[in-house]
Amino acid sequence: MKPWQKIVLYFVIAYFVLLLGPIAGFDLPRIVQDIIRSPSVLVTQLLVGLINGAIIAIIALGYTLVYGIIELINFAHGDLYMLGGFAALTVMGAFGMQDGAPFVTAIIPMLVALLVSAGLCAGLNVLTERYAYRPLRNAPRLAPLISAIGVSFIFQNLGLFWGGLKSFIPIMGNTAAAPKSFPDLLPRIDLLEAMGIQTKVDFTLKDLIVLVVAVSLMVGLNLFIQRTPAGKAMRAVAQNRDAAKIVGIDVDQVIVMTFLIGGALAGSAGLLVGLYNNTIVFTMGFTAGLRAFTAAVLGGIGNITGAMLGGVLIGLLSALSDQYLSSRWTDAWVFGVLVLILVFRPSGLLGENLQEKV
Amino acid sequence: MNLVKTLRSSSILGSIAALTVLLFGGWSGAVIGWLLGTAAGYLATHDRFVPTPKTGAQTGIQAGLALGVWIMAASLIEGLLLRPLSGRAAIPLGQTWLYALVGFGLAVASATLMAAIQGLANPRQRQATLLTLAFILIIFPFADRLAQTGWIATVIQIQIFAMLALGLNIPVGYAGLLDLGYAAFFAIGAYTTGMLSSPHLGIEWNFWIVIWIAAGVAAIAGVILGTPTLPLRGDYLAIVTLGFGEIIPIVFRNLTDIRIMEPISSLLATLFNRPEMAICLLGCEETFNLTNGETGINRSGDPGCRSLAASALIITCRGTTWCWCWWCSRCL
Amino acid sequence: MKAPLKRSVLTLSLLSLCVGCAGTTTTTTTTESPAASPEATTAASPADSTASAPTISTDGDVIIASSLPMTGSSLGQTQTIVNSIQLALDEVNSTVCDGQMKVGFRTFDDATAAAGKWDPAQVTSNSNTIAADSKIVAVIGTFNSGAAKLAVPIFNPSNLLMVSPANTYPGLTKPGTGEKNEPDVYYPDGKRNFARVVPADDLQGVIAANWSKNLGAQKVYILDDQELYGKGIADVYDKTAKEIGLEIVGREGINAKASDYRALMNKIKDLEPDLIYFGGITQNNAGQLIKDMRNVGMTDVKFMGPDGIFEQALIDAAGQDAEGVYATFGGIPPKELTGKGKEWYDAYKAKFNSEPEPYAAYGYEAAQVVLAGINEVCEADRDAIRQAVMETKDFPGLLGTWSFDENGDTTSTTMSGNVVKDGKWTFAETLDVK
Repeated sequence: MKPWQKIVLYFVIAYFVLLLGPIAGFDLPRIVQDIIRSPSVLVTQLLVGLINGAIIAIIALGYTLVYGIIELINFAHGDLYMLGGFAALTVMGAFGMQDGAPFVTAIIPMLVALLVSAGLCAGLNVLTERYAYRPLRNAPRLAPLISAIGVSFIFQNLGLFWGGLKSFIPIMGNTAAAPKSFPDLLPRIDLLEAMGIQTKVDFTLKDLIVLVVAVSLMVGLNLFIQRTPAGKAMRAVAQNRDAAKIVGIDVDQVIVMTFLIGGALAGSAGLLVGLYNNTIVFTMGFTAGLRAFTAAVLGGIGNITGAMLGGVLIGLLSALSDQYLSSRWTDAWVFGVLVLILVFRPSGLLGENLQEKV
Repeated sequence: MNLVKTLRSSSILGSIAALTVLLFGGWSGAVIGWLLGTAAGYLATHDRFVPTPKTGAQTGIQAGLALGVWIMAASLIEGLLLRPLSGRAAIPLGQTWLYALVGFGLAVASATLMAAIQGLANPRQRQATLLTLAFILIIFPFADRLAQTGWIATVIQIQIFAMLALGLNIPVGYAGLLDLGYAAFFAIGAYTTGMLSSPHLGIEWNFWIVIWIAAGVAAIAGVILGTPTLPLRGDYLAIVTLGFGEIIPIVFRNLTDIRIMEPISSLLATLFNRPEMAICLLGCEETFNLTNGETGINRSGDPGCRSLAASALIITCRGTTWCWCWWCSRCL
Repeated sequence: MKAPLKRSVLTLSLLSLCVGCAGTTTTTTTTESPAASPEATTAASPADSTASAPTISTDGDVIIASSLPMTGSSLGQTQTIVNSIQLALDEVNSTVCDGQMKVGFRTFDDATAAAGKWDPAQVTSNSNTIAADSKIVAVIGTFNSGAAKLAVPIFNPSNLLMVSPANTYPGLTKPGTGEKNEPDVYYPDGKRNFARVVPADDLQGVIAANWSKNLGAQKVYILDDQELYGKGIADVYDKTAKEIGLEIVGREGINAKASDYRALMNKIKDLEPDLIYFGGITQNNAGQLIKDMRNVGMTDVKFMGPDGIFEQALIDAAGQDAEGVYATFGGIPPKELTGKGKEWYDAYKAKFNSEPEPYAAYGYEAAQVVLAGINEVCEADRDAIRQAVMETKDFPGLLGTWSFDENGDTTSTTMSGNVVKDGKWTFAETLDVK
């Protein structure tokens, strides 16, 4: 293509984006005006996007870890995270936590909830691997995928059942399918204001705690993968399973460990979301799972840094879209960007250019 | 050997039939006897040599009798035990026997007929079998209404899902491309039908015309999605189709207030601060509601009686052939 | 040749089995406590334990059906409507025409667990089932206006009457309030077969806007859940608010499936409204909206919604953040009723040992009006019953005496404003259209 042809093509594309974009909220002049009118809200939205992105990234890590090792899209992962939320809510109920309980009294229940939900999800994930995926390891690729979708339905209905146990767990509210109110335990103190800086930017202690926990989970995982022998074994299996077997790595054990870690991450994400959004509902696994999966693919599935990057990008994108485009079009923009990026970079942002394994 | 086989085949079909009768009661025994009788007649003769229609009929009668006994027993149990025990209004004894005997008779008759057909010479055997199946398909809705079983809605759902599965089988099964956004094309076809055959946009075309347009639009959408994603492999293709499958419902849900302004003129209008310069292309006075949002387009074209009669009038009968007029008088 | 044929024969027989299964599930969902959804049974149990021996049968000479969302958080509301209908039937011992005819009652669930609220496909399939059953002479429902939009045209050709205890979207009955072709598009056969015992949103939206102004609001941000009902009432609110001089700082439809609304709420916060009006229902994530509104620090901004959030489920979903949320309601809450209404309230509490939700009164009212219609006709004749009910005049109801006008709308216009106080909806004031 000659340069002038390219210019004309870009012009035509830009024209059509400007022509049709406003339908989906992409109204450039208005967006520019909005940014100029109130730059502080941009900062606030970036923070919101960052925190939501961090939570998405934790779930995305579970997808990417499993995919890296056995090349399976574990569709049940999102619902596992939902069950983590339910486990955390149950623990909170057992400790009698309620909205606005003092932060100090909530520390122990939160730690217990972290252990319980991470443990439960890790256990469930390992069981799933053992009984739903391992028997299909040498089956055609579609078989474990369908199996994963089936497990996801089972988990979802498990969540529905769990939500209906109001006679044992009063905190579950009145109806099974209704959203559950998660006790609001993290104080909503505006940090900048507390430090005496008067801004319109909103950053609360709650945001900070969630962000710190999420980031430390990710850093911890990265250290584990990069620095420990077990992490090394995982990387080896991800690179070449047969070669790993030859050098004496117990592949089955590594796979179990992968599912264990992925499950634990999903469980902790369930707790974090409970604490941050204060709502648990049995259908939340699907939406969150979809976003997290998108994040994993966006970053290059199988790549751990990529999953984190993808999660944060999606968080930022949806926050900015809510602010400047239109909140009801946000999901369309998120997936639209995903499709575009994949069309131009077929293996995601950081993914290596793999040939399809036969 | 023969006996064992008859019993075996009848135990499967028979238990299905009996279960149905126990659940539905009434004339359901007759309908299920007719349907499964045909199946039994076919299964009894399908993998053996049947020299003449007569020998076929003999085999078929055995299968039909076995099935009929199941149905009759179930009908009697339902009428005499289950119904009173579950507290529903009892039916007279004669009526119960009528249900049982008609079910029995239809099972035997249809099994005999189907088996006898298998004894015909080859090209005719095939034709006759297909003809019988076609006959069942055409008659079923009427039989269903007559017998008040009310299965037709479920049967239609089954057929729609079967069609969807057949369609999905092409990319996933034949081409090995994992398409997770297949339902999007279903939505595209449905919305095309809705827009073109409902009062929503004031276009009320006949369903039997719109269905082809809907198929075409969905196919074009498939090409549009397919072309750029062709270089993608395996799971990346899966995620792109998944994304597409997520985008389409959002788009349909949100295309409710469209206003399209020509961008260059509106840019100039902003620069010179003269709003009247902006050229509006669509939805100027009132925003254009294409898809009717969350509520959806309803009362879309009806493939049934009225629409069929109307299209039949347009396409086939300018004059009046009696059959269509019977249709028309029934429906219009 | 033979192998594929054999397969198709087998498939056919399997299909017939499937028909059997599918048929069974339908029958189970039509019975009173759908065993398929666990919560329906659990929620019904407290009612069952205190009620006297169940006199309501699902079968009779004529049958009244209800079509309500009985899965998801609407259940709290719809269960009390069903209880109310049962109460009305119990009072006449399930018979009409001096004991000549037995009246049966069947409940249909138009919600699915996956949706957590009413589901269009479920509404359509239920409506087809109901229309096909000639014993069913009247339907009490639906709960959601979007569902009515689907159900009414299906019932119309078979002259089946539907009386709604809760649909408030104006366009369903009133010409000139909604789309251009409304409401005629819902009545393909020309006859009206839909009536409602609640005042429509063209009144409620106006009242909400007036009340907002009285509460001291000046700048308002309007959200809606994009459904027929929610968007409809938000439109009315929008229009009225402009007329009475409130400043609308923005308007947006929310994505009801989103997991959080922090970004949206930050956007709204930046525009500094002093009231957020949400046109929508609890089941479209109203709880999360309220939570995130408080989460981003809008603690003294008011939140107001229509009757769609006026239920305990909202407080369950929003927790402590629900405190101070306002809701308008097209009537008077059960507790505040007087006279005949008070008698009903006491009878309800005595029978079911629980508080009726706001729409329970209308469930009772709808059942009463339908029973009166059947009593007049004394035959399983859908059209006659339809006509009798549509012509109801000067009916002595729980909210006073009212009639159906020529559109099938109630002439009653008394409404109320309510507010959440100490984790409970409390009556604030009576509002009337001026």
